Amino acid sequence: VYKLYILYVNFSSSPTKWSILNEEVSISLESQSETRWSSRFSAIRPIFHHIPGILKSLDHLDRILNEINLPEKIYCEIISLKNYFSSFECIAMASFWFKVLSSINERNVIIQSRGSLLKLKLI
Amino acid sequence: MKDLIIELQNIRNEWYIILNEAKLVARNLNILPNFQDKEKRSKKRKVFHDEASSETDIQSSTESIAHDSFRKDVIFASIDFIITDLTHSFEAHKKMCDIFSPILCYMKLYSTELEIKLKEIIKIYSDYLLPKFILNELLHLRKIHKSVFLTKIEIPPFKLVNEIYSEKLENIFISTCIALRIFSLK
Repeated sequence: VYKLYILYVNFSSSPTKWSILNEEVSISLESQSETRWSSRFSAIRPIFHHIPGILKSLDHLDRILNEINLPEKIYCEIISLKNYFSSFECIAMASFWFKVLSSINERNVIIQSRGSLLKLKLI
Repeated sequence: MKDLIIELQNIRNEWYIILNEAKLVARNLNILPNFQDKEKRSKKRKVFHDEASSETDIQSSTESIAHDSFRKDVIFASIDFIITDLTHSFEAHKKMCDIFSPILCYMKLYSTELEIKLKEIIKIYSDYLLPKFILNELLHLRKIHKSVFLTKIEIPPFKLVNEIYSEKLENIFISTCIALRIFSLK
């Protein structure tokens, strides 16, 4: 969850980074909201479908950042994101959470249409 | 909700299918399909000169240990937490519906059943509901339901309270509106 948040913050913080993401893969990352529960599903969906594109954009960003002098914190974040999104753990987690969240989201849509909400805590 | 719990149980049982799918994706992306093991300090054991090497066994076992710990500590822990939470909220919701059944199903219940079932809700919300009024109100509401709301079937609680207000009947069904509001807030 934290890595998804960092990924979203990183790309949405600058229009240049966002355009790099759109250049490599035409998706828009979405943030997670504590109150809007369905946002968790919207946040995991692009990750599950476009991991190769996200990795390419992170590589692209890494190459650009190497050419200019930027604070080390930004560089470290990109490296850490690259390491995480190119790990098997990330792929397994994305597959697992996509399946879990899509089945919860389907039910949530049905329940919401009846004028109620599925209240659920997630760790 | 029951179906969702069953579906989540199936996802839990089908972890190996998800894992194989992830391995396939990882291979296509040239990523090593293994979980990273947290390095632990291991005890050094004296190896005798004539002892056969067992490095391969150790490597394969560390891989399976890493996978087992990921499966148990991350996957099963998360899904078990969700299933438990869902089961608790489902049971709590069911209990709440049972308590409020006279308000929710007043069209289906007989007058005696209505009176018996109302006792519990009055006991819990004695500060807000008056025993005499609510029974009379529900019996009255049952009589006028078809003519006012133009339907034989029950209306969902949130819609019912809105319908009562739109027909300007809130002063007649004071306790019913309070009970419906309490249920909607829950």
